[in-house]
Amino acid sequence: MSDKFSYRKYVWQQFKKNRPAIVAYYFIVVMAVVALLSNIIANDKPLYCQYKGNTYFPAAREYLVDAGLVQWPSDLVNISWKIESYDAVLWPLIPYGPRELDFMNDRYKSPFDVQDVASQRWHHWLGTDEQGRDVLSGVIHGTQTAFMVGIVSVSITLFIGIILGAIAGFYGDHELQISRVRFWSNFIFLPIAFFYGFQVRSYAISDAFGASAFDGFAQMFFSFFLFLVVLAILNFLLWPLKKISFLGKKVALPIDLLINRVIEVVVSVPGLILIMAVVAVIAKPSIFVVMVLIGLMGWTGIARFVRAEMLRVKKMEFMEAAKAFGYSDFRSIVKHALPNCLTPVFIAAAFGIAGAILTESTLSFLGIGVAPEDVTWGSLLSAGRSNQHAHWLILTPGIAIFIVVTFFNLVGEGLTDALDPRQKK
Amino acid sequence: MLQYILKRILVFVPTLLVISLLTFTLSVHSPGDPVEIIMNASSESGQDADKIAKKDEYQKMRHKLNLDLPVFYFSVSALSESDTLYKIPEKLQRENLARLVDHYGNWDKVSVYYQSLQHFENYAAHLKVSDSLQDHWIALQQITSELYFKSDAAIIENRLSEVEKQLLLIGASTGAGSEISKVKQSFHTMVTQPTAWKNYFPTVHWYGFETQYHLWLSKMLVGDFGLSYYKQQPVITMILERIGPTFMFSILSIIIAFAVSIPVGMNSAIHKGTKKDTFITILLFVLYSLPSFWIATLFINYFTNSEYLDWFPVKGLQNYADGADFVERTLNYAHHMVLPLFCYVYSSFAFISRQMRGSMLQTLSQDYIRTAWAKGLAPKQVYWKHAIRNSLLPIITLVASIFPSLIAGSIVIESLFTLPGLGMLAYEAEVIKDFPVIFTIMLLSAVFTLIGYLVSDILYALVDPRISYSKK
Repeated sequence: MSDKFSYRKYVWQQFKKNRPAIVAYYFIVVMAVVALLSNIIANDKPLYCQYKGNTYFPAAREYLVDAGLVQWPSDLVNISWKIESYDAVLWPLIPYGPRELDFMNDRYKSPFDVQDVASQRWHHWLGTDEQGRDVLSGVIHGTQTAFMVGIVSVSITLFIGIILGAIAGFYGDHELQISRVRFWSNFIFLPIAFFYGFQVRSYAISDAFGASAFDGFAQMFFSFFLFLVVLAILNFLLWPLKKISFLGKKVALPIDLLINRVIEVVVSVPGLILIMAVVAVIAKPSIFVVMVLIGLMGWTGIARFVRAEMLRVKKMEFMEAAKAFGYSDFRSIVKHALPNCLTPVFIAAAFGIAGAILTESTLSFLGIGVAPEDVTWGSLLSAGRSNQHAHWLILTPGIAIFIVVTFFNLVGEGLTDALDPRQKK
Repeated sequence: MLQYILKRILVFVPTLLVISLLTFTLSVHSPGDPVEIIMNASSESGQDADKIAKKDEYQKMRHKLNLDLPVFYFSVSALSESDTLYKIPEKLQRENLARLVDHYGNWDKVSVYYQSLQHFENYAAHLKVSDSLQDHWIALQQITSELYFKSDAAIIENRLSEVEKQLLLIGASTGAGSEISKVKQSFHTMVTQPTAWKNYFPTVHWYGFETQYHLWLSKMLVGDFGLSYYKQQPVITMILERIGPTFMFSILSIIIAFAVSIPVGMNSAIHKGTKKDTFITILLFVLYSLPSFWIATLFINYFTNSEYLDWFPVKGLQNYADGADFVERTLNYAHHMVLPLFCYVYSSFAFISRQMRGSMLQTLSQDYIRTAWAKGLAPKQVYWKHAIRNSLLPIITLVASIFPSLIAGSIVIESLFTLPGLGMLAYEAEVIKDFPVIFTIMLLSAVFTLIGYLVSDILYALVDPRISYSKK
């Protein structure tokens, strides 16, 4: 290497030496692109059409409509895409939507059967299910769901795990010193903050959960934010009291112990059963609920890793230097300690995505927590259970799950090797 | 040592309490009115039953389920909220009143409105109406009872005028008019004199120990987990009926998993870097990534099917004839258990043998192993006598950590192979929303997992004399 040494480049070079991992990595990139473009690859709406003198790009527009940014033009609101005649039209590669019912080819049409289609262009390459839905389209759109599950749940995992792990490792049981008055007052402040954050807004939260799970979690998050704000304000008001020497005396908050207890609680409840219980309670379960719950259950591993790394990093000279410079704890943690703690986090994140996809597909296979509009590999697979001859319904989604899970695991393995300092050459 | 174990057990208690609180919170927020669900499931002719008798029965059942008690030892609530609201029997009515309070913040006015409504309902039920006007009378009662579940002012207003209309149609006396105007009056007072500020003023109530949580917890300590919503049985009997197969499968799969993984991990560590190691690694990796529900579906489809390979029975644990002797029975059980057991166990192979491999590699780099080589011991002795002992230590702790995954696996595998175990019970309960069963299984599996961790920690401390748990 002629240019400056950088850790990232070094890791990438180590990673590239691992053949299976690098192949898996490129495959994941390809699948991510498929997931992103699934509306364009497989859709019951044309890519491009000229209809009543106007030009539209319905398949691409669907992204914006789903995101709530635009609406369908009035011409296209109640249109049956397949039957309409266009002046000019270009259909996607797979001209079927994942939920579109092809009544001419329902009741499990095999890919090798003679299908009732206009031409080979309209052939169902992976067959159909009982209601005539195209399996290939379902598998492609399922990729999107799988990646969403992996990304959303692992982001939550990382967010909670890194914060709690860093705090537990950095402060330990003795180094988070707060004044006596603050320690005792917070026993009163916590219920008060809880009151303003959650109790006052309890109907806003439960009504939002009744509307949709996303709204519910958004309200919960907002409530949690309010909780923190109220807590911060109350603690700020204590500031003059700290000057009284008796009240201002420092006591250590055993934050490491507390976080470890929380980890123990989360670890001891089997995730699948907790998710089942919560999904049963929630008014409108959807795949989003499952993602969030997997994230909320899965952070313990990352927190432990970060904590262990933090214990190691904390003793290093540059941390002492940061202290000597008088940097705030926040700055020391975020800018100096954390970047050196993230090695195991990448590995855990890769394995975490694999695990999340596996858990979600198990749940949707059992029919737990999937709304009818969710397209997932697990629910595709479960549709094949009722017909033993429909091997295309059993094999393809299963293989898709297997491949994605294997690839993420392989990348995790590759990262483990690449980031392991013992392998340095 | 004893001190460490005691300390470990002491730590176990608060964790358990937190888990019980979590479960209790979920169960309190579960939708539906448990009293009504249980009553509807138990009485076949719920509709014809006399209204008053039904109300009476409702109260009794509510008392039996301890639902007439405050929820928790204390409550943090708004000044506007009533601390006696829990005394109102019907859950849905109670929730609606709470919503009204949340809106207007004046419990005193809300309760007046509620009482006047009750009064009017009672009055309307005893009206003497000629046969030709029966339809109107029924409609009147219908609308009146709907009012209990409305919290939106405009809708209430609308319903009230509807009630008045029906009263006119019936041609009720002026007495009725004054009754309904009382309701209207109290409603208007409630709406026009709100004290919303009270909603933002927190208060704490202390209820003592006669609370739902307290009784729920103390009953659970003696093994009473409540009644199933849909089967008129205690949850604990249902669980005891089903725990056998799951327990058997768990024990068997732990034994098999370790019996297979330890030698495999050892082997791949001994032959590190060779083709054998690579092959084992890849094979285990593939097994690890295969979703067990898919494998189970494939097995059921292709190995239990007369059109493909009819090698194994489709479902259940046994189907021997009555006169079968012991050997036949055992074989029959074993035949049924092959496929599910494989599905249970294969994914833990990868996990355990990788840990074993890592720990073995670590041990092999130790000085005392070099010494063993130096004094000319045979490889067999070095590996299987000296190295294995120390590399087994970290593996012990894994017993506890594969336990949760076994429980999760049991849900899928048991419901696919229709094995009458806990996992299938959990799945069935999930489908029909039998909350007491779901929550009990959740709680019990958490307790079992915790006990697993406890035991493995203590075991670890016992087997490894190097670890000192006394205070530094």
